[in-house]
Order: sequence, then C-alpha cells, then structure tokens
Amino acid sequence: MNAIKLKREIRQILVGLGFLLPNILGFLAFTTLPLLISFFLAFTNWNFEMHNYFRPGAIPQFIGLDNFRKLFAEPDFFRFLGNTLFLMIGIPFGIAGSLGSALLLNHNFRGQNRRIWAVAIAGACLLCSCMLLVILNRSSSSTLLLICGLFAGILVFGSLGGQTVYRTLFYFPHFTAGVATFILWKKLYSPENGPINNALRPILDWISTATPNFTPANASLASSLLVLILLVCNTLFARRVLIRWKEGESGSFCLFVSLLLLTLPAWLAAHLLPLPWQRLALPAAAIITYFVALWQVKRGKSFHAKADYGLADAVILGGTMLVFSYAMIGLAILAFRFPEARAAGLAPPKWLVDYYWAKPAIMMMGLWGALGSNNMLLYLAGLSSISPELYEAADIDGASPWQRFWTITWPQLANVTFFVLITSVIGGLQGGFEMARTMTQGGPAGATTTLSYYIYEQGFMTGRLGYASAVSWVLFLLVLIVTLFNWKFGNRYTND
Amino acid sequence: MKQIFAITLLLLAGASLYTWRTQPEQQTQRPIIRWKSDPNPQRYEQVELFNQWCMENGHVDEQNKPMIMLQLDAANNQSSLIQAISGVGGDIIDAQAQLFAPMGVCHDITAFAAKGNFSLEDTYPGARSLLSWQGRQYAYPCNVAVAAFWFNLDTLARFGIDSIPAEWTPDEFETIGRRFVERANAGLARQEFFFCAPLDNTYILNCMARSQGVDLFNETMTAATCSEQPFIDAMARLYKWTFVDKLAPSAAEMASMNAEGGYGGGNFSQLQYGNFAAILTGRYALIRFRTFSRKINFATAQVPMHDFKNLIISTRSAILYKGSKNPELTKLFFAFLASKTYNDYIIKEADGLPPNPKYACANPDYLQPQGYENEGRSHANELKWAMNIALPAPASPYCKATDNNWLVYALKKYFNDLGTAEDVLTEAEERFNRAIQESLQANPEMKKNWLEQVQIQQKIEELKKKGQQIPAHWISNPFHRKYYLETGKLLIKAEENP
Amino acid sequence: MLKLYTIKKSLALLLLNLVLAIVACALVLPFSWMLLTSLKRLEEVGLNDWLPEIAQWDNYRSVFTLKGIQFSRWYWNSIFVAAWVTFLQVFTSSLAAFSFARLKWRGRDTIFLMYLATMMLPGLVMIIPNFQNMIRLHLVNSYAGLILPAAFSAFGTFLMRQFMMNIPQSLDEAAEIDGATKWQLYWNVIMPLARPALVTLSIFSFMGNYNSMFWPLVMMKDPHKYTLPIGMLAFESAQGQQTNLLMAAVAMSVIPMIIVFVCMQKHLVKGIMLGGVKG
Repeated sequence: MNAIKLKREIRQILVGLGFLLPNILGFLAFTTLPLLISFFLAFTNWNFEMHNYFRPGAIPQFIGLDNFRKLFAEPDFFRFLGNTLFLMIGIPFGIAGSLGSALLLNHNFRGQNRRIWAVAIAGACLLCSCMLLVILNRSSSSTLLLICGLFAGILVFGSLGGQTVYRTLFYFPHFTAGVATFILWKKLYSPENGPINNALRPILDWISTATPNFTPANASLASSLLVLILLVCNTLFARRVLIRWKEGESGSFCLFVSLLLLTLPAWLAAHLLPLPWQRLALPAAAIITYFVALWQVKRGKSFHAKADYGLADAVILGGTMLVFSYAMIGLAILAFRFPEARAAGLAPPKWLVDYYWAKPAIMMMGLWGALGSNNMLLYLAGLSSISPELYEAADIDGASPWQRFWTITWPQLANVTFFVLITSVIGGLQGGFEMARTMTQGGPAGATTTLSYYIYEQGFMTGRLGYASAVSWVLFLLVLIVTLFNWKFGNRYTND
Repeated sequence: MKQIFAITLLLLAGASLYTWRTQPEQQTQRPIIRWKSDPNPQRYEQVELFNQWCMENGHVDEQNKPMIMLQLDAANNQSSLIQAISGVGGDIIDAQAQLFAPMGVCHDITAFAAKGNFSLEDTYPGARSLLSWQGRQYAYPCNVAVAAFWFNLDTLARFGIDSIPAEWTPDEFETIGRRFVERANAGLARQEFFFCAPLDNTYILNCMARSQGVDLFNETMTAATCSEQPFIDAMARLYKWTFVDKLAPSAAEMASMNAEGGYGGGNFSQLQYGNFAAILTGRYALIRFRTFSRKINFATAQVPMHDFKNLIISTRSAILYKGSKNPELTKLFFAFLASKTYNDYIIKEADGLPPNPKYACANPDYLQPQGYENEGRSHANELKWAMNIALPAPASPYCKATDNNWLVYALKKYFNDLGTAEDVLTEAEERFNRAIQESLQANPEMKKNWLEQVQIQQKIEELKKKGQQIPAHWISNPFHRKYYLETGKLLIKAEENP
Repeated sequence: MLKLYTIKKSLALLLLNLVLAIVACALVLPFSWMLLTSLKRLEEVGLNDWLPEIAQWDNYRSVFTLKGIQFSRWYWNSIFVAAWVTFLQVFTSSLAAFSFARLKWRGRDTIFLMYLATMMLPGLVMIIPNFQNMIRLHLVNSYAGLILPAAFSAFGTFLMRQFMMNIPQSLDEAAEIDGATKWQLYWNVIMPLARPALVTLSIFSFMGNYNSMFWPLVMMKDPHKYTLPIGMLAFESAQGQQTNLLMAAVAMSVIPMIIVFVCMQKHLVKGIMLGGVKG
C-alpha cells in the first residue's frame, strides 16, 4: 500500500516537473545561475580591459570586500543613490494622480440617453464657441484652435463612449513609454523653441508685467505666509497623528514614523529658507511636537494597539505630508526670490540641460505616464470592489463627500495603495536608466545618473564588471529591504 | 488550440528563414571583412574605391571579383569597447591603438607595416604615439585631422570684419569675438549669431594650457597636473567667453537649435547660414561644405593660445582585430590605406589629411585644389600645423583610457556652476590620480614600472626647481619633450635623437 | 423636485466630463505635437505655430531612405524578436502554470514561491552575468541571444496560474473519468478555457519586448540587427537635429503600440487586475 502510494507520489512529481521543465530550465539558466555568478563577481576585480576573450591567461582575482569599500569610499555611489532617491519623490505624486484619475473615472457615465446627448451637445457648443472665439479674435493662433478642437473632440467622444474612451486616453502615455516617447519629450523640453517653453514664455511675461506690486517687502510677507500655512498644517497633522495613536488606530512605532516623516523637512528648512524666523520656526515646531508627543506617550492612551499597527497608513500619510512640506518650502523660497528674478527677466527653465531642472523635468515626464498607469487600473478594480452599501450607509448618516472619501474609500483602498507604493518604490530604485540613456546621457554633470545608469556605465561602457556587480548587489539589498517590509507588514495590516 | 500554436510556429519559422536569408552574410560567397567605422557617407565611396583598387592590383578571385567583400558597419552610438572584448568586433575597427592595444584586442602589425610602406615613419610625427603601444605598431591612420577654427569669411564680412589672423592670443580672440557678437546681434531680441561653436570642449582647454607649458599629465605621465594655474585660467576664459561675452552658445542654446543633421551634426549648417562665424573642425568638414550649393569663403585659425603654439592631432586609425577570422585577407585593407590611390582619394575628396603626408606636401592638387579657391589657405595651414606643431591628446599609460573623461566632467560641472574652476580641476586631478592607483592595483607589473618613473619624476622636479636642463630620456610625455626642446630646457646627449 | 435632481445630476456629469476631457487632452497633447511636427518642414519646427504650413507626408518616406538608418529592417527585427519571445513565453508559461495550478505534487508550492520571489529581483543584477554567459555561448550580437533570456518569464507563469486557478476543478475530474491524460487535459480542456489569459499574456510580452531597450543595447552590435528602440537611439544621435524626421520616426514606432492597445485594451485591463490585485 505504502509502496503504491510512494510510486504514485513520485509519478505526480515527475508529471508536475515535466510540465514545468521547459520553463524551469530557462529559469535556472537565465535567472538563478546568473544570480549566483553575479554574487561572486561582486567580490572579484573582473575588468574587461584586463580579463577578456583575448586574454585567456588573465583570471580575475578575489579581492574580498574591496569593491564595496571603494563604493562606499567614493562620493559617486552616494551621489547617484541620491539622484535615484530624488527622482522617487515623484512617486507620491504619481500615486495620488492615479488615484485621482481612478476616482474620476469610477463614475457611472451611462445614464439615460438624454443626458448623454446633453453633454454631447454641450461639447459641440464649446467647439463652436472656441472656433468663433478664434475667428473673431485674430490674435489667437491656429494652434489654440487646434487644441480647443482636440479638447472638444475628446469631450464629445468621451461623453458618448463613457469610461472606455477616457481610460484609453489616460493609459496611452504609460503604454507607449519607451525610447520613442523619451525622444519626443526631449524635443518637447527644448529650451529655446520647444513647445513647452514656447507656451511658458508668454505666461511668464504676463506674470512679470501683471505683478508690479510684488515688491521685496511683499515677497517676504508672502513667503512668511506660506511658512505659516505649513506650520498650521503640520500642527493639525501632528494632532491628528496623536489622536489616532490615542484612539488605538495606530501603534507607538507608527507614531514615531509619522512624526519623523513630518519633521524631516524642518532640518532642510533650517538651511534653505530665506528669513531668519522661518529658519528657526520649523525646527522649533518640530522640537515642540516631539516634546508634546513624549508627554502624551507618558500619559498613556485610551486604547492599546500593537507597536506597528497601522503602519501602512502612517507611511502613506506621513509621506504625503513630507511631500507637501517640501512643496511649501520650495514655494516660500520661490516667493521670496521672485522680485529679484523678475528684475533679471523671467526666463523659462532650461529643463534637461540645466543641472537643477533636469531631475524635475524627468519627474514631470514620469508623472505624465503615471496618471493613467497600471496603478490607475488597480485602483479602478479596488473601487469597483467596495460594496455600495457602505456608501449608502454613509449617505444616510449625511456624510460629506470628503468624509465619505476618508472614512470609506481611503481605508478600503489601503491595500491597493500599499501594493502600488511598494511596487513603485522597487521600480523607482531600479529605474531611470532608459530616460538617462535616451535623454541626458546621465548629465548634465551627472545630475540624472541613477544607480541603474551607473551600473550600465561601469559595467558596459568602462568594463568594470566586478565593481558594477557590487553596485547592483547593493541595489539588490535596498530592494530586498523594501520587499521584506512589504512582506512583513503588507499582508498583516492592510488586508483586515 | 493546438492548431493555433502549430500555425504560429510555422509562421515564425518562415520569418526566421527570411531573417536569416536577408542577413548580409548570406548574400555572397566571398569572405566578408567588416569595417567598423563612423557614419560618414564618404565611407561608402571608400568601400567602392577599395573594390576598384583590388581589381586594378589583381587581388581578385576566379570570377574576377575582389577577393574579399568589404562591408561597412557604420553606427556610432555603441561602445566599440565592449564589442571588441566580447569577440564580435569588426575585422577592422576604427579605434585608438592606445586604448585598444593594452586590452589585447589588436594584432601587432609592426613587421607587416614595415614591409608595406605604412610604418610609423610613413605618417605624421605627432601621430606616432597614437598608433603604437610599448614600442609596437598596432594601427595605421585612415585619415588625420588637426582641428582648428574654420571661419566663414562671408559672415565676418557681413559684420565688418575683413580678416582673421591664423594665430592669436586669447585676448586678441576675445576682442575680435566681442566686436563680432555685438555688431551681429545689435537690435535682436534673442542672440542669434555666435562667434564660434560651443567652447565647452577639452580640445581648446588642453591647447590653451599646453601653450603655457602645462599638460594634463606630468613629464613621466605618472600623475595628473590639471589643477595648475594655466588650466584654471583657461577654463575660466572658456566660461567667460560662453556666459559673459556670449561668443559661443551654451549647452541650453545648443539644445534648442534645429538644423539639418547628417554627418557632422548641425554645426555645419549653422556655419553655412551664418549663425556661427566659426566652428572647430578639420579639413574633413569640407566633405559636407562642398555639397552645399553656396560656396563658403574659408579662413582657418588656430585656437587662441599663449606662447607655445600647439594643436592636437587626431587620427581615425584602423586596427586589425584579433578576433578577425581572416587576418591575412584583412591585411589587404592596410595595403590599400597605404596606396597612392587611397591617399589621392583622401586629398581629392578632402576627407581630412592623407595618412601619408608625402602625398600632400608639394602636391598642388592638395595645396591649391582646382575649383575650390574659396577654401583659401586652409589646406596648406592644416598640413603645416600637422607637420610642425601638432601633438597627440594627453594620455597616460597608467590611466585607463576609458577614464579619461574626468576633464570633460570638470568642464561640465564648471559650466553648470557647480564649483569654481579651481575646485573642479582639483577634483579632476584627484580622480585621475585615483584612477591611476586603481589600474596599478590591478596590474603589479605596471606598478613596478610606475614606481621607477615616479623616482625619475622627483629628479625632474629637482632639476626644474634649479632651472637646469632635463635629460631627454627621462621624459616620456610627448608634449613635454617637444616643449622643453623648443624652449631650450631639454638636455640632449649626442647619441640621442629626440 | 425630481427634475431639479436630474438637472443637478446632469450638471455634475457635465463637469466631470469637462475635467476628464481637460486631463485627457493634456495627456494627449505631446502626441499631437509629435504628429504635427512630423509633417512640418525643418524651418517650421521651432515656430510657435503647431500646424505645418503644408503637410509634408514625404517626411515619412525620407525616414526609410536616410543613409545608415535601416528603419524598415529595425521594424522587422523588433517584430520578429518580439513575436518569438511571445510565442515561447506563452508556451512555457502556460505549461508551467498548468503544473502549478492544476496538478498536485509535493514541492509544488515551494518552487512557486521561488518563482514569486524572483519577480521582486532587480533585473540589473542578472544582466552582467547573463552577458558573460552570452559571450561564452557565442550568442552576443545574435537574435537567439535576444530571444532566449526573455523567453522564460516568472511573471507570465504567475499570471497564467492566477487565471487557471479560477477554472473549476470539476472539469479536471470529468476529463479524468473520460480517461484523458494530463497532456490532453492541458491541450483540450484548460488551454481553450484560458484563452483570455493567453491573449493578455501575449500582448504583455509582445509589447514589453517591442519596447525593451537595456538588453538589446548591450547585446546587439550590428546595425543590421538593431531593434527599434536602439535603432531610435542611433537615429537620434546621428540625425537628432532633423526634428521633423525624428518625430516621423517616433510616430511610426509608437503607432503600432497605440493600435495594439486600442484593439486589445479589454484583455489588457483584465490581465493587469489579475496580476496586480491578487499579488
């Protein structure tokens, strides 16, 4: 009996493996084996110039941790890691964008016929009025007409075709992303006569003539106001975090994470903000927040939650706040410097050829692709799986749309958000190669060299394979940390 | 479902067959020799010329066709380095021997070259070190160039400048340039006319620094010396000319120019239309210029320099790839490069300087070509400079050739306002020196040699301090040899010939 | 009262449509600029006006005749390589997925977990040793070297498995009672039912390969064998300032993708949701 069972089991395994065989052979040959080789390579001085096809005698030597030592000793690695992380600031925007698109697209478009026609007619009217506008006002160019026509066309098609049409259009940029669209963007970003700067120039001219009142005194006032708003928002947010913690919606560890994310910009602000009080205010607020938090923690809380309960929410909310803070700090600096810049003549940025603008330019292009990406589709799927009863219950309670979003939609989508965030972070760590190779060659002066481009440069352009392997393994460790984080926390806290 | 898979498989098999059949290898029976070169349209003609030459000289097979089929692989965006070391380079690669020979991917052609009139003696003195490594020859030039400023005299005349000196100091360059830019752009909203093409290249930087006696590497090439004052001054000058005087467009201004492409890029059209008064190029540029319907009146000028006039010679030279399957047949190509047919072709078509200068010197077809009077003295100038003042680009045997971009990096950094000239150059010097240390670490034999040279360098420094002459055999850097010789600081023993 | 409600609803719908149309318009604008610029003469390219004076359809023909730019061959290569990869990927992935989803054997889940784990690995780690192996196998600069490493996909296996899991198990039992072997079960029962997933995977892998750049960039050295993405790089570096021709080339390389997407989007959307939500 047992022997028969054993025989059957062996048979089953053989059949199972038989079906698996073609795939697993390739898998071993092109994934597992390279992985092992790569690991060993990272500890050798393999260099194509020394050890190659034509020098069978020269054998790469084990040099222990030398590659890693060099990597951590030289500024390059950290600079390029910094570039990679900087480009990842775009991720929260991308996620917010795709969530927004999904929310917009999730409405039921297919109402009664009359409504559809109403919208279609409205679109056609708009088209006509745009045309009239252009015909009457000769100063407008045909380009404007064209854009209006495009807009009206989309509107008519969209209101007739509903979600599918918009979803298709939203998804185009992501779907076609590749060398071709990067080249397209390179041309769009042309500093002197690209369409982006051609459009910006009149706007900037208008701004500089339309703001004669914006004197330096007003500028510092505006800048101060922005910082004040940031302070208020930060305080409100910190309060919210503390309340969440007290009510047991998040654990102590999450409290710490949220506060850390919240107060990180303060240290940047201390260096960058133009006015002395601003430089003091944010760090001071941060310190006070910590003290209040400590005091609250000492007092204890009403509901007890495990230390890492609600981490996903904490990371997402804290991250959003972090980005918001950076944006406000940036705006404050911008406002302060505006009069000076206007005096010098407002010029549109030089995008890809400017050291400081190259990264934002690439991020903006990324955002273009991220609005309607796979993430949007995932959000759409998530939205459609929220049971309508929840909303009905909320309607009966008289909840505002804002409340509906925060109490129903957001928590119900938490697992999707977490998944999307993790995959974006992993993608972001490895990303940037194609853009850098196509648009900037890693320049200007290394501003857009990400780790993946660095690996390519070291491995395939200068031939230091051992060193490049070491870099790729450090990257691997970073990805692994994120993956483990996902593995440990993702399932536990988001699926309940 | 099975049928779908079967049909797909059949289709794919058909497609594979088609793909395989249409590969160039399948189109002919003759052995194919691949020539990796640049995407100059001229190369296609040179392939034709090669076939002709084969026929005339009896290098034919039974069917009276050239013995080999020379096939051009002309795409410039791939790193030929990786290609070469992974065994898939062309049989002939247009590459620097200095860079490729140390990796062991080139055939030594010394003996063969001596027999075939294309040894190092048969080319320009300044180019010799570019073609050899450790005293052996690995390459022979396809053509040679000494870049200089090529001025469009018509553009200059339009704004009231009649002539340009062939040699000038930076101050003279600046004065004339500023006058031009001021006059040309008077009343324009945006600057449209520039005195010259972008200046953010190391060619001018190196020449300017060398003209004050400093090279990127020291006399023994054991360390970088690019943080010395002449380099800093030269770099600051280039910056000033680009951003303050606006003699040349910045990277941003360049990125927005639309022009017809083609070989040589858009700069050529900018020169033709008068947006640039000058571009930095060599005689090979005439290939394109001669195709333009309007003839440009040219004058050439050296890059602005201080006392010691020098220019950098560059060659597009062919190496015989070690991975070639037909090395013997490939040698035919080198004989072709040395032939009068080829040299005359280069002279006639203006594809740079001919590999062998003897075909150009005193040749009226070269010095004053019929029907191209508008080109003025440009031919004579370039030949003169190539024979007399040209030097190879700075390089050190201890510094991996692929790392040579630190100077470029410094220049880019400085042009992006990421540090003072002194900062970026000091950093570049450190990076070069670190790169040297790295290659020494990997190669103990090289390290021994390096240590000896470092001691010699110390002795040189002492002599320099005392203001004494330095023995010629101590100096391995071709620049310093020439510089010291001409400034009388070189000690030459009777038995030595510099 | 009811009428007021309807009007309010209609207005909201109109507003929603307006917002969506504005965003969609902004997303599509770069493509319209591309198309219009590709029809311009070179002198018009930098002008503020997007419209060409007279549409230069010849630009598209010129792309194919530029010297050193073998655009049609690159097109062919891209499609050829992507088709092979797609075929192999679909075949091997569906086999493996069948084993993971429909067969029970000891160690199955462990191996599947291994597959899943590699989906998280950065592909960069594998590229250097893979390139080394390709040199050793003399596959550098060959179509096979492009096709083989891409032909075995953990993601494809995962996607197919997710789909096959949802096919009712009772079918297997019914087939077994009829005396079908596992091989017959695979071809005659599961595969026809898995057709939607097969289509999805085909699109994914085809488009993924049509667009892939890193591996062809390090592998292909012979301009005759370039695929479109690296061909476009070569185009850009050689003829980059001829913006109109460049845009014509960009348009030609993007349009097939747009067509595939518009025709196949239903399957794609399903596939993404299948692969994403459950992961």
